[in-house]
Amino acid sequence: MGAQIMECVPITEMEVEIIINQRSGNLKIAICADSNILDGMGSKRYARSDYFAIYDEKTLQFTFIKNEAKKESSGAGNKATKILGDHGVHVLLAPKVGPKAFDMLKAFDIEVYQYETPAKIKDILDGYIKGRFPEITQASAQGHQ
Amino acid sequence: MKIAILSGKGGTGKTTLATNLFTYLEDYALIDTDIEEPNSHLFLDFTIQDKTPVYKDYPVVDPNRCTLCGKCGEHCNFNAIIVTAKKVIVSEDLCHSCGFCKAVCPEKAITYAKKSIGDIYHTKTSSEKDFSYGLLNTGEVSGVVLVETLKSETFAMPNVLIDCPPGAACTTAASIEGADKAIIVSEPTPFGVSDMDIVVELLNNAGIDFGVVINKAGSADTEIYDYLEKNHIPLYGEILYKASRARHYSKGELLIYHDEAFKENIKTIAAHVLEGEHHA
Repeated sequence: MGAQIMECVPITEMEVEIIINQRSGNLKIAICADSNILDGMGSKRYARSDYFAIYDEKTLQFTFIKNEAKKESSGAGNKATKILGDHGVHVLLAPKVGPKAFDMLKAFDIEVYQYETPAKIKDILDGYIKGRFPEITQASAQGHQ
Repeated sequence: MKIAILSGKGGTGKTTLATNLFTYLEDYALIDTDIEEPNSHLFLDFTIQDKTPVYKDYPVVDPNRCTLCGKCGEHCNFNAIIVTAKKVIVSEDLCHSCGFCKAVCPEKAITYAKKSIGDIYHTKTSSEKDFSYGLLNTGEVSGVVLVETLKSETFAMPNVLIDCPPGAACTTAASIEGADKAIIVSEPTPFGVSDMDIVVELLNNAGIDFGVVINKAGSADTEIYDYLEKNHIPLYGEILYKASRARHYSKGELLIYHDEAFKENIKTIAAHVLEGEHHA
């Protein structure tokens, strides 16, 4: 993992601010994360990832929250989405989402965009802001149970 | 007598023992409670008499009464009911019909509706014996209601063999409930012993008398024998591993009709299990 070396443009608050001003954004953006550090990797899974990195366009800051849905024996997608909804998240960046989670994300009006793994959290945010990711409009074929 | 046949580990020979014992014992019925993947029916010759759907309850929220307070969602242990800012979403297939959401709703906005989760098949074998099994619909999270219904519809019969699911989850616990005796089918492998240990605890907690049949015996691994001795568990019988037996099994054939030594094994096991009973 991580063999791919990207031309990585570090996101400083200033750069992000400029981009956001152009977008006139006001969003909270969640990224599935393997760890609770900005330099860490984006998770390969949504509802059973270890953490969510939530980027707030207003404060230009990341907040990491532990994904309490990970340990659920069933309905992790429902619970994870409820957690994001309660945190006021508008956009989710995920590698894929299962059918139940997809329906629930729609119910919470959370848009989902797809990143490819492996990628670092900050590069995933960068990719989203630059409009590189397709919107997920359909659940992956099977639930990952 | 109600006799549960279980194993902990899958693939040790529950169904082989259950179907052959069923064929050997004249006055016993057989039920297959492995509702996620029943397989006893693959070895028996029968005619389906009756197919009945089984239903489970799931919550329906009246939007006129609901204030979106969120209590139902907070109390659901299965994440089957999620409250958003605009509405309540129910994932019917995740619901275990526990009734908690309805109980905690301060607005009495929740009622229950019914949904089919699978079917029960009651059959008669070619020798006029009762054999029943259940089949859970794909995607349903819990087959406990199916197991309980299957048992309630067959336990009026005096003598029933229960071919249980593998593991020690809710459907296995529901399968052994009310059994007078149990047979654990295990195998002389580390997995066989480790998984057996879990169902030994289950049976001890349930207060059910049991013994062990070691299937695929003949390996050099003696851990299982040490385990039985240490825990004072009776050995009801040992069935030797033979490739010819695997071949019969793969064709869906009952070993009792093809293998005299195996038939003797079944007789010995039956004698152990029915010890003290008047019939056999």
